[in-house]
Amino acid sequence: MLNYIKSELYRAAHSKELRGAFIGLLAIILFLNLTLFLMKDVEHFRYGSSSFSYSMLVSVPMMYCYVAADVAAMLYESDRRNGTMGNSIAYGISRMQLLAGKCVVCFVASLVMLAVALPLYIGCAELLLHATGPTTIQDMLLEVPAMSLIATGSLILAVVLLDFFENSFFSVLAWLTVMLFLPKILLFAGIVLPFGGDVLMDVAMWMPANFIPAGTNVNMSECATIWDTGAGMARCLISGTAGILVFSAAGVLLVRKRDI
Amino acid sequence: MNDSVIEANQVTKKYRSVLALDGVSLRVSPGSIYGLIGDNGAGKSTLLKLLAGHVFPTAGEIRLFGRSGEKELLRSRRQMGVMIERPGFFPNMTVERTLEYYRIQKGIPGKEKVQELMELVDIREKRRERCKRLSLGQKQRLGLAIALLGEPAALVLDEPVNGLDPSGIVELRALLHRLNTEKNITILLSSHILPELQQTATMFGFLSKGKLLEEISAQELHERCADRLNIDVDDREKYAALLAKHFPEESWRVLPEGTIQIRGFRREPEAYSRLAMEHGLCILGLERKSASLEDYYMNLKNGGKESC
Repeated sequence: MLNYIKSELYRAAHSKELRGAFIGLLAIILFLNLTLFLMKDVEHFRYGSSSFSYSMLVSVPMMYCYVAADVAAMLYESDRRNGTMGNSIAYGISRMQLLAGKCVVCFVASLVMLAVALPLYIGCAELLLHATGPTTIQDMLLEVPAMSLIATGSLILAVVLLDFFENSFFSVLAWLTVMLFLPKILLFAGIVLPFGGDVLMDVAMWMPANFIPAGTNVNMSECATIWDTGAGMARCLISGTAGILVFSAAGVLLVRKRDI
Repeated sequence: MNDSVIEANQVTKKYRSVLALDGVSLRVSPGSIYGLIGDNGAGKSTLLKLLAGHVFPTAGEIRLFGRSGEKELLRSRRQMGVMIERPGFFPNMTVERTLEYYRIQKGIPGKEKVQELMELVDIREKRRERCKRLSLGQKQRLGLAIALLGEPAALVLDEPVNGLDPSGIVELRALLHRLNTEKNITILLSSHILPELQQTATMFGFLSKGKLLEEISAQELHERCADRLNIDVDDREKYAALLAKHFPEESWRVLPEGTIQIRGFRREPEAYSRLAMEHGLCILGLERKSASLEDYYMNLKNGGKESC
């Protein structure tokens, strides 16, 4: 499996798609902060602060999940269709090893992107913008551990679904369903069902798509995040761990004996 | 003691309600070139996919290098090079990087292996080309190079000549022969181009509708498809008696339409017409026929077994 991971890292390092997306991400960060910087001294323009810049990321923590899933999609979207997965299997690499290897590679690629993008983001905001407003560098930095496990879970889910479905459209649809639609449906069902609704709501409120927006209120005058409190941070970590376990188990069940 | 490199025992594969393979048993001996023959949908690719681990059998057992069982098969597959249906590669990667990627994956030391393989399959000049820009034949060559990485003991190739130009086919045939004779690589390949397969394989397996109709060696095939002489005479009973008397060593039979067929004839065709004319018989027709693998396959598929 180690050789498989090495080969995939080699591919990721030479992947034009991944490199393009990475450069695009860095360009967006620069463009965003430079725009705020250029506008910051304009009269009545209230957004030229590091707080506003940070709030764009702090208010949408699920962004970490989207980026992680996007990295998986960029690397493995066509793995089945291209026949490359078949080559690896024919060489005696088990489906489980492939799955684990892909998750490791996506994790490493995401980590590298984060390791470059985040300092750039903070550096730009700190150097270029006014240091005023409720959202601070601490909120931004605490978001990383709070979302790390949840994003890892979403990454595993993306890899599993990309392996399972031949058509990546269905993979994307299934990912959105599990990560976004299903939690909302469960929550709604919990609210409207006369019996058993409480249990459903309790379950739904452990899902990131529900508890993160419910505990997050970030705007120009306030910055309240779910990870501000110990209980909130614990909920993020527990939910993330559960996601990793559930999606890994789903991967074992769905992919282990799957014909390609 | 099991001396087969590749073995399928009563293998069945069902895709939902479709029975793709029905109790197929097959053996590929070490050092042989096994040609798998069958129409589209006969089950060739399914059988090769089973061997490669792409799909799992519904019933039956696969053995590779004498080993069976999931873990053992995974290990055995590392000694195999595979190219099934179409070569697998990343469209935006260059040829050289694709091979380098698989070299790393297979844990093969030395970057020079990639260069050697590009030379071997004659794709070196395209090394900086992205895979998606290659022609079908060049993709086949790349697929073969990927399969050959790591010096496998066995090769499983599905339609390897697909998309190759005539000179490419000749080169591939020569390459397969070389790999087989010089490196003793066992080869299992399927092809629609039966004349090509006839020149390459030392053993043939005929698949039809998911069943293996027959396995036959090239030697047996040659004997069964030996030259035949079809003779039409005005009195076939008299001619039959003459054949039995004058050429007792010849093997002949009367075909349903009344033609006398001499298989593997040992004399010049004129000798047979002379025999008839010298005894006052009139020759109505004389035709020399040589059967090919195609004839044999078509005959077998249509239920015949004795001759081509």
